[in-house]
Amino acid sequence: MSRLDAVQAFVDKARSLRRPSELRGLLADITNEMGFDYFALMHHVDLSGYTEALTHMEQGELVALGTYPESWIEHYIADNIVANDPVLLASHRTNMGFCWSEIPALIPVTQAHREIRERTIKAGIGDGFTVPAHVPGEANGSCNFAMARGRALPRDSLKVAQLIGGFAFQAARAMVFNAYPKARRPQKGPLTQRQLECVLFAARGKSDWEIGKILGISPGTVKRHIEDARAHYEVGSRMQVVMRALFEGQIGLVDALR
Amino acid sequence: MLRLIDRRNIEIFPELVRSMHRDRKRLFVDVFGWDLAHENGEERDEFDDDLAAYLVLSDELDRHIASLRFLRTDRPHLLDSVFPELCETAIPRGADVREITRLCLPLRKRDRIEARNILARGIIDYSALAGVARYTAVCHMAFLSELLSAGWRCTPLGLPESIDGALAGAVQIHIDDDTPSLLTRNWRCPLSAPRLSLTQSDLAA
Repeated sequence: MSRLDAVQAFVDKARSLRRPSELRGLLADITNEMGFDYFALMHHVDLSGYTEALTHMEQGELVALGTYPESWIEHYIADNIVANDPVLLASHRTNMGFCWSEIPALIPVTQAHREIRERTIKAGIGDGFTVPAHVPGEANGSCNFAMARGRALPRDSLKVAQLIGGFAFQAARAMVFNAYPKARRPQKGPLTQRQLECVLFAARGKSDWEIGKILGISPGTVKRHIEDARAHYEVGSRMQVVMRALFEGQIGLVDALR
Repeated sequence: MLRLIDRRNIEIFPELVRSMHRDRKRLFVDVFGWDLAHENGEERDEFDDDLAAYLVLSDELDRHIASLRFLRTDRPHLLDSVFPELCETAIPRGADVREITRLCLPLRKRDRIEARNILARGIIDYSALAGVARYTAVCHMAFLSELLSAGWRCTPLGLPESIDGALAGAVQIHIDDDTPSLLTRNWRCPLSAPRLSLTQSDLAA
């Protein structure tokens, strides 16, 4: 079978699957065929809803599935590494697949990023190739193909990986959206510009007083905007407001962290 | 308005057509940096001939907002004449296959998505009217996730290659029975969005 035949077979099969676990199996197989050791297909959002059984996908919450070592996934979620993972941050700067060695050309790499890379390597994951999957108006996503520590990337598979990553993300995205399509529809339209600004600064950890100083409005007004945003999304906490705005793509992790 | 423009009615909308070629030059040459021929601020190529057809979205003053070009596949077209190396299998050809080229969208994000969705619905309407079952296109890999997010069934025709410094690949879009409903759900149009107008085009005849 030619490599294109393999991609086409993957595309057809992925489209017909209904269960996330089947997609994980299919993608694991082609990941190995391409010469990679691991994959992680994910939305770049709070991953605390992740379960190994992939119920978060069946319930239409988010895309997150892969074959990374389970202990690393636990640490990754517990320490909320998603919010400052240099691989994901770099993927927000491009729409094209990139090798992890190219990350310094995409983002300023901080000490914290270097520490995250160190931890990743300690967990057994060395080099990798990431295919960004950005759909306008939605949370950013990516399909990450990685190598066990010390193993070289299969350079001649990168073009295939670029295609597989794009099609795999859409297959996973369709599963999540079909599971709970109404949740994806912003019924009442987006937040107002002011609400969005307040939510953005809250996401960066600013207090109402600080946000008020930045925007030139009173802390009470800031509080009201965030309350209105909370009511708009019908969620209980400021954190959930931030996560919803991230999920709908109204703010990006990069906005929140800059 | 969303118009189908072809050899029958292209003379009726000279200003609109010129503004399309101007926007194409601005987007493809100035913004994307593609190596395309242009003259007097207008981008056009050898495929902008008598047998090309266009979907053109225009504003209330009938100025160009967004557009794309349909080329027949039973005669020279992009995939066949310019990028044959992108197609590993036989190039899909036939009376029910069109190639989509020169997708020209506004730069502002909100306008862009609205225009994109209206054009996509126009493609579906055109398929039904002109009996098109499949479209081929050369897709930049940077646009792949967005293209697939419409939910329509796409298949790759070859591995992506570097063109003008960016990876692009040939894809095929299949128009199936469920494509219109998938598109309505994924790429929604506002209620006020225009539907395809065939005024004095070949298809109206």
